[in-house]
Amino acid sequence: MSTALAAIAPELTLAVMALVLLLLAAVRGQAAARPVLRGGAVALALVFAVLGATAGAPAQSVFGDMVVVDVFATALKMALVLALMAALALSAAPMRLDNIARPEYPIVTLLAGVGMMGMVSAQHFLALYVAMEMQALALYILVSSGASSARSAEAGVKYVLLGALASALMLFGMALLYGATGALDYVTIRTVLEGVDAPGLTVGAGLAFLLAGMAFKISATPFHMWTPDVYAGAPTRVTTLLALAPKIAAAGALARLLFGPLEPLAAQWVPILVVLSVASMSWAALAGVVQGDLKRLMAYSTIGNMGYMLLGFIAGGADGLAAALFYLLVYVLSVAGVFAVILAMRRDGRVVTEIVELSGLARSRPLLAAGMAALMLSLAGVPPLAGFFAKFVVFKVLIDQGMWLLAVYGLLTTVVAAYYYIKVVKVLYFDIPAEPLDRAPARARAAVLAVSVLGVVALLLAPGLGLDVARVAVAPLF
Amino acid sequence: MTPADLAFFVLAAVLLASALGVVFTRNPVHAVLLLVLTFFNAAGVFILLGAEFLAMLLIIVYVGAVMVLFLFVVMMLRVDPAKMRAQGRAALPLGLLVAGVLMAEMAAVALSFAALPGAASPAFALPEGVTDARALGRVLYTDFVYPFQVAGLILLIAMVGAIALTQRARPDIKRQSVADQTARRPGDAMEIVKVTPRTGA
Repeated sequence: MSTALAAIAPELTLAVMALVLLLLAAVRGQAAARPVLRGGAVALALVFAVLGATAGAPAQSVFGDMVVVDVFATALKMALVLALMAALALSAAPMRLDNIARPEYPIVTLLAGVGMMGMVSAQHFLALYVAMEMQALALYILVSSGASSARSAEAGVKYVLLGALASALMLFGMALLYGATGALDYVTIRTVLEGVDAPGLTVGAGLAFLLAGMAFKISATPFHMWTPDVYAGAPTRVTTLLALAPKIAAAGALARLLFGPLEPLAAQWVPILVVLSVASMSWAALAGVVQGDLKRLMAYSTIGNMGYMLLGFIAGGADGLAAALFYLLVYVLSVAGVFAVILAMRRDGRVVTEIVELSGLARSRPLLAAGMAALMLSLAGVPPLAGFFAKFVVFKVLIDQGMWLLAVYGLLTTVVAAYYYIKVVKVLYFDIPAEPLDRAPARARAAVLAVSVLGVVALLLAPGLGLDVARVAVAPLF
Repeated sequence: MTPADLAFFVLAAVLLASALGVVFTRNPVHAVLLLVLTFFNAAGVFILLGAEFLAMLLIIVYVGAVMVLFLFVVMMLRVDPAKMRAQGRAALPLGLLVAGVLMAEMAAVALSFAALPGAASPAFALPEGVTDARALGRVLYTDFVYPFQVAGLILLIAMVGAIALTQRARPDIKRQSVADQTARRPGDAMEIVKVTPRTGA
């Protein structure tokens, strides 16, 4: 038992810290909002230290093989903690300015983090499902947390209903696979499936339902319908969180499923992923073009980027998954900075999110504009920024596997999608300046933006380093 | 006839009678109370079957929580029995159809259950001389402690979220403050003015 508890020390630390902060909030009430936010950051730093201390430990399965702790889990948890930290840091200023400083929201964010960490460590359908529900429930609450805003409530209801549908689909898929294999843990399922020559209808249907639920979580077309509405309706501080952390968790859980128990079914799931990926890339490229709202644009950007990430899964093998993981991390790094800029968009104390509001920002706020331009060009895949390397690596593994057609198609959609990223740069630099944005001092926001932009630019110095880290991280799955 | 048999017949008879009462009584509050009686008797039948944990669950969850909620809803909503009766009659054919399909399905399951492979070997065999509540607790706190604790955290998140989302400070609403009211003295609110005749206030 004690080894099991030691193995999940990062999750335990985060959960216990969240409970302590909850006690503080219960005693001090609204006044605890700022201390709780700071405490949350301290808790995440502590968890990061714990993760760093245990990173080198050998892989182990605990709780009756329900939870596995290996380099893959630890690496993704570190990325998750950093993403949560960025989201918490970015939420400080808007919570103060919008007068909704409530201690509950940082606490719920931390508990969502516990669920996400559970997802990337799950090695059993039951553990995966409860962890996934935990993060989903916390996110539903955060999405609805806009101060008595009808749009936030609408986004929350939409997210809950579609999220419940996705959970149901996934649970059904798990039940079918359980019926076919008689096991819930990944290791046994894999052994059983390896012994089957031609998987029957039950296994095929279970796989399809499971993938539909996962596609909803990473918002891949055609299961993306919720993404633009929820991104636009949720308070921007929550959209930031939604765009960063849950994607890491879902991609990690998906990788564990596809290259673990479902590996013997690769011939069945590769075509499904091809459809999801092609549909996501195409739909995001086309629908993104007509978006006027920056948050909706970022929703389509997420959908498209998840499509490119899936290309790495399709290529398969350690190289393919490493490319996908590298792509995911570069995406998270860039998007954190983009949301730091979106959160800086206020005029006369009101939040603005339209792209035209950024007109001529280069004149009034040259640094902010330069940072945003760099991030947009990186997302578009313009060399020599990080986004270019990420796309290059993914296309390269595809071509190495002989999937020319898919790589060429991905390249074409990149060109279409580049239009809307570059349009933002054009608005920043070449449009007639609009009224200047409010100048609200926010050191945390500036820090997140600086880290993001520097990361995106500095990858040029060591393009191989990120990919090497990703290779080490995915090694335990193969 | 053993005492257990006798107990079963008494419990089953009261169960059926109170269940019929739920359907036929005119007063919705009586119907809810009769449903509580039904649950108690069903719990008794579960105990006779050796499923004490299910019996406890039935009483704690259904009688303790769900039925109390029902009672509140029924008492707060103004239900017109005559109107409901008319609506019920209109829905009778559909209701009978659904009931018939359900009965047929349950019969099919009951008839085919014994023939299912593995029906005789439960996933977790109950050890000799251990009650089912204890056996369940042993499994929940050993093999399944991880998902069980995560489920606990999920409930905590739900509670925190429900309170945080519904309890908003609304400056536009006037609230009653009992402390302020009782602390108020006549001097705070009234001014006694001596009015001399023929001059006015």
